[in-house]
Amino acid sequence: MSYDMEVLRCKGVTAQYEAGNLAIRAVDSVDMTVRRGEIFGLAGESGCGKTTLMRVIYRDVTPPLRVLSGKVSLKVGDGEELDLYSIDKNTLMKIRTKMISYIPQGSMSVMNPTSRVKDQFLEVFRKYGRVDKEEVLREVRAKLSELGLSERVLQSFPHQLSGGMRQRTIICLATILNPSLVLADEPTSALDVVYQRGVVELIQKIRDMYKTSFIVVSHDMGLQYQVTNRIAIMYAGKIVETGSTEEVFRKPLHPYSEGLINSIPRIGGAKQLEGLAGLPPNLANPPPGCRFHPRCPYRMEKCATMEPPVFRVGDRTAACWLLER
Amino acid sequence: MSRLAVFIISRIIAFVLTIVIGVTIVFAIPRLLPYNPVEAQIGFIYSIGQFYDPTAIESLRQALYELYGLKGDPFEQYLAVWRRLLTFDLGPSIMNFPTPVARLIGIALPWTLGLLTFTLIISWTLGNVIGTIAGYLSNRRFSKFLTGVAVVLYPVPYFILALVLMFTFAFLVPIFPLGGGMTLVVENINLDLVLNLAKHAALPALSIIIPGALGWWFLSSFTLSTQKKTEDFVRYAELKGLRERIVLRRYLIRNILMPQMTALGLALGGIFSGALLTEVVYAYPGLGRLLYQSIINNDYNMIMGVSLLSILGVSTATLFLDLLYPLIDPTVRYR
Amino acid sequence: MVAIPRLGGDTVKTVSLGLFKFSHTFLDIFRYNRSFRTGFIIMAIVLALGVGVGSFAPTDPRRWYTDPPNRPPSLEYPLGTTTNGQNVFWFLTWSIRNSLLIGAITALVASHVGLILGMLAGARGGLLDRALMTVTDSFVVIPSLPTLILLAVLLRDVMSIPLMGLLISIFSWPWPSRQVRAMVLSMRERDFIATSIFSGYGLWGRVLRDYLIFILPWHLVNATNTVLFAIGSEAALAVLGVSILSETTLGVMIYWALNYSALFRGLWWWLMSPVVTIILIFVGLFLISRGVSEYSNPRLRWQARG
Repeated sequence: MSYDMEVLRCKGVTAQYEAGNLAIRAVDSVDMTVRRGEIFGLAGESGCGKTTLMRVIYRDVTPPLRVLSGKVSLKVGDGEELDLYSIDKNTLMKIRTKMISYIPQGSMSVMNPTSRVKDQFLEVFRKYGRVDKEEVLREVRAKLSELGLSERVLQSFPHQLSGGMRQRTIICLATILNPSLVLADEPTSALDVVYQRGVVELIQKIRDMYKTSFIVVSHDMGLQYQVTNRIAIMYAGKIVETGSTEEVFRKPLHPYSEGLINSIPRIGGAKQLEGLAGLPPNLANPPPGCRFHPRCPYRMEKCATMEPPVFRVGDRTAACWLLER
Repeated sequence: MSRLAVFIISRIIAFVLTIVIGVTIVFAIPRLLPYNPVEAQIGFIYSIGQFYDPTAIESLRQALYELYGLKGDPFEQYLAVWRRLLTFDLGPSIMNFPTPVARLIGIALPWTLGLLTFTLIISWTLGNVIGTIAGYLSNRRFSKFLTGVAVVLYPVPYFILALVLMFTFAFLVPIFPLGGGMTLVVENINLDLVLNLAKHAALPALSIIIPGALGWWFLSSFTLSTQKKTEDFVRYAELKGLRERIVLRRYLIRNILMPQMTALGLALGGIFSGALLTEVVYAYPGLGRLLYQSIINNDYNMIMGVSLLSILGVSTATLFLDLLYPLIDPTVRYR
Repeated sequence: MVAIPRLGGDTVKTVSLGLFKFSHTFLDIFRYNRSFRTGFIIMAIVLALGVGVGSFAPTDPRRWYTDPPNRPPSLEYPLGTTTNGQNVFWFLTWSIRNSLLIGAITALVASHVGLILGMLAGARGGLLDRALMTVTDSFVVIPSLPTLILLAVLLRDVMSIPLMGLLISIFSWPWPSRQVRAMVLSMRERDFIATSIFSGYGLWGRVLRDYLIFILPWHLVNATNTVLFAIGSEAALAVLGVSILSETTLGVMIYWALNYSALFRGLWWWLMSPVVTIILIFVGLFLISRGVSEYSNPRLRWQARG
């Protein structure tokens, strides 16, 4: 795995929400890398810290959120590596949309209601000094038709588009300048199945054509299986397993991953679905040792006292004492 | 039938209804009270102390009844009022007999209209823009300062501020004239005339613009802005890395001016009344001063005329705004 | 927020409990809300001047030539004298009293009529509701001043302070009735059908017992704003010369000063005393109403505590 192929590298990222004396550590010592042209999935239950991790990567950090430690580096098109937390505000604003894009959760109402879609595209280009309307629109139309979106979308106002169309338009808006990395937080949650497929296909198409990397955050394991190449499972602020999607789904290494994957309904499956017992821990006061141990069906004595390190198995990683061999 | 058509028709119906109710009220009230303007007038003549031939007085009485529109039974009178309205014949003015009321109003109206239109546009636009910016940047010093100013300006009626301005800028530091519309006789339109007009209109205009822009419109758009800046589409615009100025201009101001237009329609009545009073304070030759004079001189017809005109005018302006709104707000226009 | 004790039962106990809760709430708002505190202090001063100090006027301030005319403010005549030899200071105190009285009458009549009609319309619905809405909508659009002027002119001979209050009330009740109706309607929607059936209270019972509690803070704010509106309207009528000229209010004071061209002749104290006082009253009352509405809106309350 040569460094040239990496687009994003997070090392030891820790961040917490602070309210008075209370501190909720939503992201704890996270290491993560995303490669070029890869659709990387981030999965886990609600409240496990996925969205917070996204915000930290994008450097959308405002009180009460505070980043305690860690490094986030983005590798941009020409090979230059940017430490996202040491660049100044102006540079940050410049690389947003051009090098790295963010599609937030609940993006239904994310577009300007009184501005036509074409104006919103023009706005993006204008930010970088491209003011030649005709040429810009030609480019946009070309790209839209490549991606399978009708030109009619440009003339419309956001409220005239259906939910699925809106989501796909937002994805196009976010990727129009060919950023290296796109962070998509729950891109399909508010949509019904038909539209979900459209979104999935769009993401894959963009990746295929422009080698754009995506991080897809979702608690929907079915979606993760469909769209991602590699996947990371998060639990209580920590990454508990990473690996290629195919392998992780076929044979999960961490008990939590196993529980998640077993909860997906399968066509033709006769087995009764098992959910995971218990609830996610209170992040203000996490359990000692391995954070999952209270709910783990395989727990050992060690798990209650000592936090497992990250074990490597080939191209995969997992943080579980079961792998200590 | 399209949604837009339904909206337009229902608005027009409401408009007609409002006018009918308004005119009926203006018609009914004086007749319900035990006040007879004709007898009052005749009593006044007698009180001066002269003696008149009874037959002459009787024909005068008949003439006055006709003039005041009080001839015949109430239903006839009601119809007569409508007929008058639709033919713009509001009767003769008593204090300036026999000049028709309509003509006097016609002379005063341009002054009022000019003042109102000018001040409304400026105060609405300025107030909303400043308020939106202050709401977005609510932790800056200028924002807090302006909010404090607004709290003082908002509850105070226009004409009170007019008095303060008059005191400060026409008395203490005499920059502007104490009142009136202009001092020169109109011979030809030249720069002097325009300047003179402007100088006389300055204080009345300021009396309306300042409490409007820095009071009412500032405060309402400030509140809207602090609410809207937390909404998804603004947050996303910021997340995309768009500059503050763009966010303000395209996202906030644009989306606040829309509802504020509706608010303008509702506020027109109050703004109009305030403008009338400001004219009185400054002896500005518009409808306000006309009304004032007609009250002093007991010019019954004139008072009725101005009242009717006010109701008609404000209702029409509100209707106009209401019909204009769907054409401007895309979320209403395209469905 | 004040919880109104259930009506009935031991009256003395209920009343004293109510008073206790009221004073507790009052002290709370006073301590924590800067708006309310400032406004209250201003109004306290104004009230003290108007009602307290004013009662000690040596003579009826409206009488002419109680003092030498046209004197500027000095130690002897703190706010100067008018062209008719009236002492501006005592004149002002009586004017304050009358203006506030008119405001109080209007607030008492209009806001309560509006409250009751609004609750009726919201609770009953149907024809009554429709009729009410048409009337209030017209009132909202039609500028109130010209009609007020018309009425005031016609009632000139019989005008008095209470009548003026009633007059202004005619135009002040539509707006609160509309707002109250909207509140009642939205609360009705949130009701669970089960509770309304099982609790055994009819619609009216629910409206009075449960909804009223939530409407009351708004009602208080509205009453304060009505006082503001009334004083402003009366001043407007006065400047036009159609207020009660036999009595004196702040508006009437301004009228006389303008009538005698006070500013033109340099007698600025005659005009500016009532003007400054009116501004103080407006700002004071507004701050009070703002403070109360901030206090009763839980989200705003935390912001205001700053």
